[in-house]
Amino acid sequence: MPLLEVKGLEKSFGGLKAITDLSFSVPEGQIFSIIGPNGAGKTTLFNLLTNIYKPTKGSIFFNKKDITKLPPFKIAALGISRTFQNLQVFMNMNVVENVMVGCHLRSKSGLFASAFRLPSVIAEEKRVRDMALEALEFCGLKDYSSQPASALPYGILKKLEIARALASKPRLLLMDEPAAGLNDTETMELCRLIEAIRDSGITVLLVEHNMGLVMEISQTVLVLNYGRLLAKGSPRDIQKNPEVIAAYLGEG
Amino acid sequence: MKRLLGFYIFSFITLVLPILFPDNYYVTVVGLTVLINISLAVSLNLLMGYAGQISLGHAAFFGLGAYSSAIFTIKYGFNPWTAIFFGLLIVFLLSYILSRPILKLKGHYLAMATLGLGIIVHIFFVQADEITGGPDGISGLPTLSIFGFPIDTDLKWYFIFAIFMLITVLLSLNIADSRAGRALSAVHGSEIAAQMMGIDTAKVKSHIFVFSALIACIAGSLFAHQQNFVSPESFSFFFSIELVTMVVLGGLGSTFGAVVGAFILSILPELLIVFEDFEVLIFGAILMTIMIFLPDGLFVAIKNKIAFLAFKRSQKEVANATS
Ligand SMILES: Nc1ncnc2c1ncn2[C@@H]1O[C@H](COP(=O)(O)OP(=O)(O)O)[C@@H](O)[C@H]1O
Ligand SMILES: [Mg+2]
Repeated sequence: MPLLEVKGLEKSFGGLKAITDLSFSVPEGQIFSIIGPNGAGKTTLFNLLTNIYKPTKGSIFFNKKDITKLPPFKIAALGISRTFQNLQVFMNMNVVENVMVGCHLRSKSGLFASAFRLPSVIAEEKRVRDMALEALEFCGLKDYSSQPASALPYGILKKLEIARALASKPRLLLMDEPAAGLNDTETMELCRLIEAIRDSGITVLLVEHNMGLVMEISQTVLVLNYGRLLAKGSPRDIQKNPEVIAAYLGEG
Repeated sequence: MKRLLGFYIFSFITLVLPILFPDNYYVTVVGLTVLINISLAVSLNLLMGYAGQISLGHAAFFGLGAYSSAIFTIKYGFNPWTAIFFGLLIVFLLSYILSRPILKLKGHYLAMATLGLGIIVHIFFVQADEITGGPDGISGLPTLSIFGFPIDTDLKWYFIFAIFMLITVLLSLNIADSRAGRALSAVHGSEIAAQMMGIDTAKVKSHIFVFSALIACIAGSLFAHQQNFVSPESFSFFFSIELVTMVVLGGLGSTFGAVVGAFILSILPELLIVFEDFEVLIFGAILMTIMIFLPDGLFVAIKNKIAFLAFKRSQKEVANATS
């Protein structure tokens, strides 16, 4: 049974069709990669899956539940989290606070309880901080925990987004070009990190241009071209597919 | 203990001042203005500094609290505490109903909408003279008593305002260090990322809007009883702008920043009186200079500087220890 199922998805921006009649399903436990040239509609697809954009047509099922019309925060509550191609780190907070926001769904103090700092809040604060530190440690960021986010280099911020997403204990993690802008060492580390995430039981939907990385760690690769599904299969099949080579792989 | 050290020191100074100088004009007269302005600036900072949602209409809720106390006690003969409760009820309903549609707006549009709210409420104070007494306002509020103990001198009012202000500051500090506060900062930092972390951003913004309005409302009721008089002037658009200036001057997003901003903006006009006609000019020049050279605000800039120096010193110690 697939964890995520997309049926007949379509998105137009005015006259431009960014996604056309897209259907696919993602089995649980995989690293499932989506590749395609710039402008193919990969980020748009992520924005549709999280309902940051409303689909023009089609439906999305997560864990058999129709999530097409749910607001993003409810989709997150069902167990989908993501990182962003253009960083969306909370620059007004330090590292551990960023990740503590990721624990929002795993804690519950409201404004009133927080304002009066009821005993339950004090206990929860400690618990949330520990959960955040655990996520930071998993991503190798523990030493940065008290640094302000605004003072950190790009590579660290990209990892911070991953730690923040993991802190919500998602079942499905969407990663939009996590290797972009990273050097070779950082990319290697990222590779191991993504595998560790998958091994911890989280299904990973990965958008990435680094073909070495994609082919090494994915179980399934889906190729998008002008918003349409061009091919889908194992990394080996995709690398041999003549249409894919002509449209995408061949050029690089 | 360490978390609230600054708060304890601040409370101590605030409460000791009137004991040391009970007859000083700056403590018991200007001091009252300072205290009420701090409460208002701190409450506005919850919305503006924490959640990043500007409001140019905060004075409206301050005014509604004040007018509710005046109208319900004088015109309808209610007990002052019942009147305060009615004020809270009105402001709660109004702010709650308005919060969702208003806070859907962003940036300039949000500024315009809150500005409009402030202006409409002010026009109501001026025009609805049957209820509000029109431009002349209403005078002669009954004395407020706490457990049968009448608050009838400036010195007593100082303590009431001070305690209210300190509670506001404490609540604000608590919120900053909590799940709710982080949710607000997340909305400020990136609304999309906040939603992806499961935060119902519309709800969070609405709650803090109501919370901040309720604090302003209580401040208004206390102010009306202390002044013994309400008139539309005190709750105009200009006062809303002044509150925004206080928050920005001290440092957006910092509770003590709002405290410092409110303190300076309330004290400065008093000090500048010696310049007579040039008072407003110099006032403006000081504000401009601070904002140009310290865009993060006065308090936040100084705090960061100290943190930076401490960081450098600890680095030096590490270097010394390892060499
Ligand atoms: N908010 C938007 N408004 C208009 N057009 C958009 C918007 N978002 C994406 N597009 C367009 O949709 C197409 C796909 O973009 P995108 O999903 O960002 O591609 P990718 O991530 O694969 O590089 C592009 O032509 C882009 O210009
Ligand atoms: Mg993209």
